[in-house]
Amino acid sequence: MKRIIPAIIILLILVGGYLGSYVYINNVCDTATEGIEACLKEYEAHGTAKADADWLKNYWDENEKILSFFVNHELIDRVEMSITNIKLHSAFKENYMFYDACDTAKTLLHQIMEDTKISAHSVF
Amino acid sequence: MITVILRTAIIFIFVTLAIRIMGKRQIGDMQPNELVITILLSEIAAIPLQDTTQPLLNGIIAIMVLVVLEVLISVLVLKSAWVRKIMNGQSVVIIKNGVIDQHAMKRVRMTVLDLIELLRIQNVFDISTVAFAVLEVNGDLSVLLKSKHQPATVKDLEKTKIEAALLPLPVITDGKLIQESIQALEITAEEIEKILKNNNTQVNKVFLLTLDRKQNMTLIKMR
Repeated sequence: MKRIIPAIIILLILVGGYLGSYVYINNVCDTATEGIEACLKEYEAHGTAKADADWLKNYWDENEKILSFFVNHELIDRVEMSITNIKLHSAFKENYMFYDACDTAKTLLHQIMEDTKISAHSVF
Repeated sequence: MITVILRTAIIFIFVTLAIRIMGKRQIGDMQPNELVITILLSEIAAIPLQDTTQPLLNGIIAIMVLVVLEVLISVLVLKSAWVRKIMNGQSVVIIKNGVIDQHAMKRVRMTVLDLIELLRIQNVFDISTVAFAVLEVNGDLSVLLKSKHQPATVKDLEKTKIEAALLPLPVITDGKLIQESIQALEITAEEIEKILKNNNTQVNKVFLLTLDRKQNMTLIKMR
C-alpha cells in the first residue's frame, strides 16, 4: 500500500499535466492560426502584412519555449521558419511564397493540435 | 553537448526514482510483467537521450506511466488470484515420485535435456530420487528429494523409521484460500477451519499456511 500512494499521485499529475498541456497547446495553436488568417486578410487588403506578421512572430517566440516541453522540437522549428517566411515574403511582396508559407504554417499548427488529441491517428 | 549532459542527468534521476518506487528485484526473481516493464523502461529512457528533438517530457511521462502500471498491477496481483494467474502464470509439477509428467513438460515447452540440466544444477543426477520437482514461475526448478535420498540432519538421526517425503502446499496466502491446494491435499474447509481455530486465528488473518498430506503445517499470521 505504501507504493500505491505515490503511484496514484503520479497518475493524477499525469492526467492533470495532459489536460493542462492539451488546453495550452490548443490555445497557442488556435491563436497562431488566427494570426496567420489576419496576415492573409491584411496582405489582401493592403498588399503587406507587416503589423500582423510582427505580432505573429513575437507571439510564437514567447510561446515556443513552453511548447518545447510538450511538442517535437523539429516541428516547433519548422513552424518558426514558416512564420519568419510569412514576415519576409510579405515585406518583399512575393505573393506565391507568402501564401505558401501561410499554408505550411497552418498545416504544421494543425498537425501539432492533432498530435495532442487522443485519436486513432495519434495513438497508432 | 551540454543539452545531452543535462538530459542524461534528468533521465537518470527519473529512472532511478522509477525503479525505487517499483521496488525492483533481481532479474532472476522478476515476474514476467516486471521483466517487460524493466526492458521497456531502459528502451524508453534511451529515446530522448538519442534524439534531442524529442521533448524530454515524453520520456519522463512514459517512464512514469510504466511506474504507475507496475504498481497497479502488483497491487492487483496481490489482491486477486485470477490476476496473479494471468500475469505471473502458475508453478507446474514436472516430476512426481520419480516419474516425469510429460503432459506438464509439453505444456511448459521444456525438453528432457532442459529438465536434466536444471536437475544437475540442483545437484540431482538421478530422476528416480526425486519426490517432487516444481517448475517455478520465474523458470527455477525446485526439487524435493525422496526421504531416503535427502541429506541426513540431526533430527533424522534421531528417527528410527523413514517417513515418505510430502510436498507442503500453500493453503492460505494473504488471507485467501487456495482452492487448487485444498483439492490436491484432499482436505475439507472444515478441517482447515479446525486447524485455524486450534491456532486462534481466521482465514483473513493468515499470511501463509502450508500443509502436507499428514497435515504438518507452517502458519504465519498477518502483522
